[in-house]
Amino acid sequence: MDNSVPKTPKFYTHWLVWMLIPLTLGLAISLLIPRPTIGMIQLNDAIYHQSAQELIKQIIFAGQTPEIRSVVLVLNSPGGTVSDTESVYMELAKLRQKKPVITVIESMAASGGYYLAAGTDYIFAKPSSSVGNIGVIGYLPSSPEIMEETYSTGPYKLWGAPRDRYVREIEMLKNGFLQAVLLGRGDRLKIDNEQILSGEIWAGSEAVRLGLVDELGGHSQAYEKAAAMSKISHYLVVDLRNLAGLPDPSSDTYFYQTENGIITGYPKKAGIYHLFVPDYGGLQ
Amino acid sequence: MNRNQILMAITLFSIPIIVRGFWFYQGIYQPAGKIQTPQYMDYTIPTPDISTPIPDQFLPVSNAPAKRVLIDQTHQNNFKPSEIEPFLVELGKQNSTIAYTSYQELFKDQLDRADAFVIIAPTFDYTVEEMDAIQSFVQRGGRLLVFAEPTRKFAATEYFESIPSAQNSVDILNSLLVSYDIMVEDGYVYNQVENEGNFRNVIFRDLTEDELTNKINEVVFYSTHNIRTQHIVLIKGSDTMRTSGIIQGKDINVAAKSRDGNILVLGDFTILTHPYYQVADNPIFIRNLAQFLESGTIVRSLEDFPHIFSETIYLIIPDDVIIDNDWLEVLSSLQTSTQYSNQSINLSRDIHEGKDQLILSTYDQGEIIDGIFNEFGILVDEENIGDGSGIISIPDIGDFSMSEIGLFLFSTEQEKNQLYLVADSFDTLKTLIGYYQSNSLSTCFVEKDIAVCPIGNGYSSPEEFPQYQETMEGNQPFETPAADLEFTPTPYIPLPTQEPQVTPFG
Repeated sequence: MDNSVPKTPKFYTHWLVWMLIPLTLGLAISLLIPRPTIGMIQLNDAIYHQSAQELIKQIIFAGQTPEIRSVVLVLNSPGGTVSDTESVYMELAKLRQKKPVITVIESMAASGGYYLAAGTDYIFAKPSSSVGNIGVIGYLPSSPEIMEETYSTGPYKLWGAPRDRYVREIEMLKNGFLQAVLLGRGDRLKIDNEQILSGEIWAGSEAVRLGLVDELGGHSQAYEKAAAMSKISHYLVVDLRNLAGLPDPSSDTYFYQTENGIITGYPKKAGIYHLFVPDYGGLQ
Repeated sequence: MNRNQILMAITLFSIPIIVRGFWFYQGIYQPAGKIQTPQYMDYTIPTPDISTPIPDQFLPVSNAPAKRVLIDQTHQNNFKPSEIEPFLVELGKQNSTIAYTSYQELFKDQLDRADAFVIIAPTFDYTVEEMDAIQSFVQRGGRLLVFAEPTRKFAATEYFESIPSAQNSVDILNSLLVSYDIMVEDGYVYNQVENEGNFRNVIFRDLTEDELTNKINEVVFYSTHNIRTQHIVLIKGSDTMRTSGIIQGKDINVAAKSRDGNILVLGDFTILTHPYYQVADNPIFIRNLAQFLESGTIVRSLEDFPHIFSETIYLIIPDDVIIDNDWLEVLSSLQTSTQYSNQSINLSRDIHEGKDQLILSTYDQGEIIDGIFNEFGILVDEENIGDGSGIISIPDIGDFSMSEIGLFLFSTEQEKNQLYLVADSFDTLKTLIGYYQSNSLSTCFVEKDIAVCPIGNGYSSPEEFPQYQETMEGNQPFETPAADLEFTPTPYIPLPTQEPQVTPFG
């Protein structure tokens, strides 16, 4: 015999309220949990003032945006000016305190380009990517002289530095680059300082063997690694360039362009560079 | 509302949040440690050890006569004299005079007057004649100092190519040095482990004991070629050195000397320049280089005529020569011709031992010529001296009538050169002086250090020889002002060689 009291409509209404309302609220609030995002920053250019500032803006944006849990830096760069490279490197180091940064090298990360890669947590490259060229190049200033119509207040006011000291400064900057590579790669490096500083460019597969690159891979592997390091899944990948409010990449280049429109591998201005100039030997 | 209802509500509320949270986030990222960046402030500009200049008072004072150092500037040498000023200063301290090759004069003539020759980074080929002249110069004891330089290049375009490529002096130097078994290797030496401010600024401490490495512990070369030789290697590389040609360690040499010690080849000339000349023991090395050039002894012979004297010549004339108008004309003309060669003449009646001397004599001046005649084995018919019928016998050449020939006799001792002009009379002696002034013995028969010149029999001076006139056309520097000469650097077409002419006496 069934002794149970029959459920009244009030009973069901009561339970419905106590179940549906919290569940609905929970569902609603859960929607406030943002979907994790991997920010992608692309450098498909040399490193100079404009490109560096754009990179820095994206890096800062990534650091300040909670949804962005990690960053993938896509590099295709022969390097560039020393100071701009260092600026980006330092911002990357700050970002890495909060979020992992993974590099994927497209066709080239040479010189300053590799400086940035070494300042990230993990590096992927293609088997044929050009990697390395670690070092500094500089164009010596003119020999100091005085001129009849130009006055200055010191012997190097016009020329910047004695030529010999300029050479030695390059050596000092080289040591900074070397240290950045040693700190960035740590125990993963399988070559000594002499080899690192030889300035050679290695293919991506060889760079893996030498410990300059962690693994062969492309974007997908980089995103998976970024997700794994930042402990996220079901993520979105967004290009940070537009999110950071940057305009489309400019067609202007900092490389010297000949009269007939050929863009050379030389920078427009003399200076000290973490830069790979591919045709330097043939044109000097 | 009971407790179960509350728990149920909380659970239902939490589930979507937890599920979505874990759906997206499986943990919180923690960096492995503090992200380290280079301690940039720890890196300072490397500065070299600058040598303490050696006080000049401690220098050995050179009493040797001035040596003439000729520096090549006619092969598009890739340097400026102002760059090598520290080296020039050292040469000056060694009492050397410095001259640069010029297009205004034949290369061989310039080299014949030099005691040492310096080649720095040439970028224009040496002709066969020039190489022969250099070879002859070195064989006679002239010092040759060669600097290669990997950083000094020039753009050259091959015949079938339109794009210029960078060339250096290696090929040009090797064509010159190959016969001495010394080769400059293309590429450069570097050391990434230990260097002076840059990998291409290489420090050398492995030095072979030699006059050139005397008092040197360490030299620094600023970009240098590797030098290959089987002879004397002076400066060797260390185990950590490499070349761009992948040669390693002890096989690297940057300074080498020929077997006879007269040729020194260095892979770098930057050591001669500011500010690199003052690093480490480079100043001492530069001084040693200057001493190397200064210490050579070039053996001259009559074949070098007219380049057989240095700067000051003592003209010794016999006591019984009375300097009248005729003699005055001859002597002033002689003075003019020697001045053209940057030489000066001091007139004297007495022999000056240890000096360059042009000694005039007749066959009867026994006190002057006996010694030199004995030296050459020359026999004179003493009974008939002065009457025109006397015979003079010259070994391996023949017997001649004294009145119809004049002699050039050359002797050298301790770098001092003496040229005797001997003739039958003072008048024929003047004719012989004419030969000297002409700067050519082309109408004389020259063997080793004797020249037999026809005089008399209608030949009163070399200018009157028909062949001489023809030969000397356009080549009479003592008579033509230098400014009026038209010289072209190339091509050099040697004058037709005159057959030795000996008057068939006896």
